[in-house]
Amino acid sequence: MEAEIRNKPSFANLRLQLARGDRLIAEADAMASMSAAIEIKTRWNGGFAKAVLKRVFGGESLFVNEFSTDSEGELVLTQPFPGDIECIELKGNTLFLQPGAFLACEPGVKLGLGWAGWRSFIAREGLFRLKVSGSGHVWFGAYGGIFTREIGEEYIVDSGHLVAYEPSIRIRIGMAGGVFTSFFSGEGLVTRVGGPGRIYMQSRSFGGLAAWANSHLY
Amino acid sequence: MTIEFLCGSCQKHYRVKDELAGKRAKCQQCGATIEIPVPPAVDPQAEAAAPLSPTAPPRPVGMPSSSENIRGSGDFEFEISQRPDFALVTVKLQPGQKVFAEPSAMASMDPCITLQAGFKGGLKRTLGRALGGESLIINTFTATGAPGEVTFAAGQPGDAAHYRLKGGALYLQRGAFMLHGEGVDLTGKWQGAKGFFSGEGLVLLKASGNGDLFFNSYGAILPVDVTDQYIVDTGYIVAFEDTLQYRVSVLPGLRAGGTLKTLFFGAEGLVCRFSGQGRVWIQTRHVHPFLAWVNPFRPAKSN
Repeated sequence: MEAEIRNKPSFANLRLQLARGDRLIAEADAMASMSAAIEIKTRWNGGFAKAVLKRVFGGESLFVNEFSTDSEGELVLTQPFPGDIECIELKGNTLFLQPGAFLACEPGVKLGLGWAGWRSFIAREGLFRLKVSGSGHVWFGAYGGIFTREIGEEYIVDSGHLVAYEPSIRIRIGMAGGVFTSFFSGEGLVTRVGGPGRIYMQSRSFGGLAAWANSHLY
Repeated sequence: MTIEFLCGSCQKHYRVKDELAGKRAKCQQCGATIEIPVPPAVDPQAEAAAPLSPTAPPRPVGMPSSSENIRGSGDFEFEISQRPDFALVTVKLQPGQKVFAEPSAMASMDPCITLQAGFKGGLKRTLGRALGGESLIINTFTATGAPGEVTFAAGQPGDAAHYRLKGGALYLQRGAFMLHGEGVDLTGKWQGAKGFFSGEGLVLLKASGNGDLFFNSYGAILPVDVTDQYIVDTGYIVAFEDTLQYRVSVLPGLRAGGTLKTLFFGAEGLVCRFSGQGRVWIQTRHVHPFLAWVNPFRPAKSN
């Protein structure tokens, strides 16, 4: 299977060339166009109970689509918001994705829901997180450009900017500064990530967009 | 190889052989005498590298193209990446160095950076900033003990730009301010009747002193070097140097029609006429048309 991410970073989309026997799992609604030779099968996102959990807590859809073909064809996938798409290859390792970030994966990748913890919830990063593991490529998207950092000991991320992180990363919440600073700096609670490991961030946040639009509405 | 050109008087399109370069001929359509142009020497490598745009788009000397990362160093090293859609400003601070940013602009930072919110510059400057459409609060980021980085991002999709102040001053539109380094003084500047009629606020932010300044936009940022006169719709101005004079007027050829409200608050057809020597930065999108476009799709609140 050949894959290419095009139109980065504003309107990134994923173009895949499927050959006979290739299969791809993608978020429901992600398909924009495809060759007539490609078949879609819609199924519960990991069984009924798990799908409901993922929908309610993981920000993912109830269903996923499985694409396959008997001959060959192309498939174009997109995401709902303007922004970037990134690809990683799993080789038995695991990655945690923030709710809503998952776009597509190869069939060797297992999608699971992981408990992120109350700390993550208070930091407004969600009570659950999507856990991708196994082997194969995973594509995930963000609102804004995607940038990464290799975390040594510790790094501070404003809430709403974290997209994905490796399982060795510890998430803690902290105040942006003293009491006055945390209240008035506009940063409030921040996420303190502990390393070692890699994190993926987005250069915009939904909260920031809403605040900007609302500040101009009267 | 062939030469393609247009007739200078009737714009008829011609295709002729290379050997005719520099010769004179009569246009078959309008009869005017035309000189067949000599094609510029083409570097085959350059042509292969950029097949879609053989001629580079005009842009002021020294300005990077709209999607390149901007790297530089003023008092500190910085990089502007993800341009122009989702610009991210990364600054690398040495121990003891400070930057001052608008609230909520920080996206991520090293733990050695301490953040302090406060009213910077006393009551007068603080109120001036507030009237200039910025927050009362300025966040101070200081590197303590070790060098560290801070990344800044705006809420809106768009670009960011760096400007090095060297004793001069720069005026910023409402909301354009992002962050500045040490040595920069930021305050509101009363614009009088000009501000009142521009529909964009009575007070512009004025940055002066010696140091680094970063500002952002909605849409891409286009720098324009004004040498004589230049007209910009008031909603599209991001920043301009104070060496420029400006006057707000109704767009030439457009009468001040419409209701009083559109004239005063909608800023329909109001333009800023710059004169003198200096640079003005314009943005390629405007927030009010965007919101007017989005608003009908927002759910109505029943209260």
